[in-house]
Amino acid sequence: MNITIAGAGTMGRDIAAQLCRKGHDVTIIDKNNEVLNNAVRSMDVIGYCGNCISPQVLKESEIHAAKVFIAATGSDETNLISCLLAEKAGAEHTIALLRDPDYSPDTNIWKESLGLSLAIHPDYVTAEEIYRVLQFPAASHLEIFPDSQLELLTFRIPPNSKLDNVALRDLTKIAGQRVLICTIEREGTYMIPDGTSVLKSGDMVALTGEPDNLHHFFLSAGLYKKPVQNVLILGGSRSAVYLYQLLENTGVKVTIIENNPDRCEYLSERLRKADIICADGTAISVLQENGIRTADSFIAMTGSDENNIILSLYAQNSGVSKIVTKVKNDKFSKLLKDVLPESSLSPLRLVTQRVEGYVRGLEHASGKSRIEALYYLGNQKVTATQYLVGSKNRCIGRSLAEMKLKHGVLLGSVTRGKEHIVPDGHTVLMPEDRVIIISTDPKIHELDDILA
Amino acid sequence: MNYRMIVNILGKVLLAEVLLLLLPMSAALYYHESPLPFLYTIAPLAVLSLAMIFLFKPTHDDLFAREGFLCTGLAWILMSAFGALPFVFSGDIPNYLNAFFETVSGFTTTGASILTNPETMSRGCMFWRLFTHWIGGMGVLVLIAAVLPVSGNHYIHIMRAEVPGPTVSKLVPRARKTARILYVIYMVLTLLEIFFLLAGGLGFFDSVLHAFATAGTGGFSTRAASIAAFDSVYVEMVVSVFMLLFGCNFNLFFLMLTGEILLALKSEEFRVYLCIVAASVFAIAGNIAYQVGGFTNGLRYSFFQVATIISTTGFSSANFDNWPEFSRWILVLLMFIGGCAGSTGGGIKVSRIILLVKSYFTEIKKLVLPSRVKKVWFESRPVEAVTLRTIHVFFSLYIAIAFISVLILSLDGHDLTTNFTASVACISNVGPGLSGVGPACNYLFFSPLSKIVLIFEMLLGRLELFPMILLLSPSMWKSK
Repeated sequence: MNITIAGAGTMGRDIAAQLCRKGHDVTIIDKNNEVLNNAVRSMDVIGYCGNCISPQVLKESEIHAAKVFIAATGSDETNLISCLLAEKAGAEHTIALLRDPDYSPDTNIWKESLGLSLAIHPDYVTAEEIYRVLQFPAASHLEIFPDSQLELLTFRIPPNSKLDNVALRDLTKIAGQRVLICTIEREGTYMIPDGTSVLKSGDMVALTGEPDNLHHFFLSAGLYKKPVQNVLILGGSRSAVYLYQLLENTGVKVTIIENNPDRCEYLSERLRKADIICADGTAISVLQENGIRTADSFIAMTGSDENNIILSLYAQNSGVSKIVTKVKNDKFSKLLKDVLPESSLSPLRLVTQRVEGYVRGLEHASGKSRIEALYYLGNQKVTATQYLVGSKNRCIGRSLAEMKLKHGVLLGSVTRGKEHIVPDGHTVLMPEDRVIIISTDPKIHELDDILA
Repeated sequence: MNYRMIVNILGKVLLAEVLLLLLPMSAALYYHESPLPFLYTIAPLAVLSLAMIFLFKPTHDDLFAREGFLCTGLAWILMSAFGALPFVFSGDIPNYLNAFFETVSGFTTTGASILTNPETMSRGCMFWRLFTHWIGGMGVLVLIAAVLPVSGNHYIHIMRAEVPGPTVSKLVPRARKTARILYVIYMVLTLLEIFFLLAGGLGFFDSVLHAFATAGTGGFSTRAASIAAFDSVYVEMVVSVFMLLFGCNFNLFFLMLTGEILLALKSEEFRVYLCIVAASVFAIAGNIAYQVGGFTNGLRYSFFQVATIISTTGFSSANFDNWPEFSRWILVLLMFIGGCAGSTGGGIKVSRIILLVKSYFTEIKKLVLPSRVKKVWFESRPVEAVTLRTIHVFFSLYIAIAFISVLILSLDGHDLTTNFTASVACISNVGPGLSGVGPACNYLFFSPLSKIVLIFEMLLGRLELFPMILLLSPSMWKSK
């Protein structure tokens, strides 16, 4: 499908690269010729140099033929206006990235009055993800599939855990509850396990299941951690504000360290119950003074990746049990995985995941399956996707034992109405089922593509 | 450097050549000739290419500009090296170097021939000889990009190296779709020309082959006397018009197809191209009028000759070597200019010439008003300084190579006009030059060393210098 992206900054490029990899025809618009050239040189996309709020430039980039227009420039206003223009000029769906909390994610007024299909608030998305992990600290990442309410979480198996050296088929004996292991990441490679796969400590494991089952699984595996009570946030960024708002009514104590006095003033006007500390959070004495030893969670989200990483390591050393590190530059995440405390998250990846989920949800044919949600497991090549089965899908009416699935594909769970089924050989898919597919194969666009 | 990937792509190139060779082989069978020269080429080539494809599965698909250049340079050399074999096996051109020269001349759409008497060639080989023009015109890597299901972003690097012009402008976001559109336009135009030639009473074999040679702006002919052999104004006019069309930027045809005819006609390059053609036609027609018996006759010959030289095809409808100096020199200048960017023609390209001239004016004005800030504009857009710099480098290299080659050609002891025009005709992919290499002569008399220099010039010209130069530069081969 034709997709136009305004802005070839980090966000725009990452989204473009991922959509291009999925076979879409991508057009990029950017004001800066050099930035644009860098993008066009590295990807199979077409570039137009110009301002994306100029109707002339939009016309030249053939916006009328675009199915999706994504505004990912650095300015909210530019994004909103260009989406408005693009929609008027014939783009079917418009997606805007918005950063300023004044374009609040709570209200739909921007979306409705400007006819946006989707407004993504990168900082809010980040805060939400952190919030979920703080509620369930045993997980490094946690996502919730819409409608089916299944959870998808990843965690690292600690040394000497009960799970070390356990084959998957023996898992129920130890941990009791039926949850499904989706992927195991060991030394940088991802594998889709079967019954004979063995867990090792140090593995990063992705799991899906119902919330209660997951809860019990962690309890019986001895890995459960209580929701955090005392959060120390480094950096009073926009995500910090959103995170505070999410935590406000949960009784969690929030301390924010920020070194810009004006920003502190602003924060203290907005965040009534939080402790705002105006000090340089990179000084160890400041962290100690403000209770890094008593806090049960530490969130590093300053603007500097380097500071975030180093201070997270320091916090780990000081015995903080839950640490979340925001890393803007996703390129080195592979290297960081071994060093960093378990939860590192990149707003970039969250945004791209959201956009890809939306775009792929549009591409279904009638009667065929539709993508409802899509999450990356670790890197952008391993995905967990929830499909709504269509009435004309080839895979319905056959039991799993009869179907032959492609290599690198796992059918994670089936939700029928409100009932969750852990699939086995006898499971037969029906229309309107929600299925979760875990796959390492980039060529799976549709549910039927899982069939070998 | 991703060597596995390069070998794999080269394997695909050779496999494509195998498939393309099936066509002249069927022609040989159709005309009751022995298919053996082709079979002897196809069999080992098929084994080799399959081995290259299957034994060198790339471990990762990173492909950057240097790999793209290397791939393109090697692909063209290998294709020509194997493409020369049928001529040797059939005995039409027994000497391998001569056959290699002829094949490179075919693929690079030069049309410089070493054949004294092409009429005696077997029909299968003749088909292959002119078919190489058609293949080389649009480029074989572009063909592979269009046909093979490849994922990844790397084909743009290859297309960049193979498609002529200062910058590659994609028609649509995907390199692959762009390649397909280009090939479809190419095929449709070729079919149209075949149709028009058939309508003019030319035989099927001659129509098809001359359409191939025109489409690639090549210039080989089935006759020693080239187009003049048909002695038909109709054929000359059809061929002239198509030569000029194939010398246009193919993006214009795409614009016309999408209904933007006005936009296409507004193209600066296209207008300048037409102006150069018109000016040269009238200048030459006036100049040769007394020699050919009147201005109308002059127009007939000058139109054909200008079209064939500016599009770098190199057919001839008259022996222009006998024309007055003024006309001969106009033709030499046209050889340098060549067709438009994004066409199948060679030469420096009209758009580069426009930008060069414009930047001269800008620089001269800058001497008068040193603090004046002024961009060079082209096709209603300001041009980046980097683009201009590359064009200046390209131009000086082009001239330097054309002149330095003359030095080596001079060792053979022929006159300056012969050497100079041979060098220009080869680097610009025109074919015939003046004097000793004039339209009535051929390149057979050059020494093997000179032939190698000319072969290299043809490849340099077709691939727009850089891929071939990089192939020789040591920094290219240092692994990174």
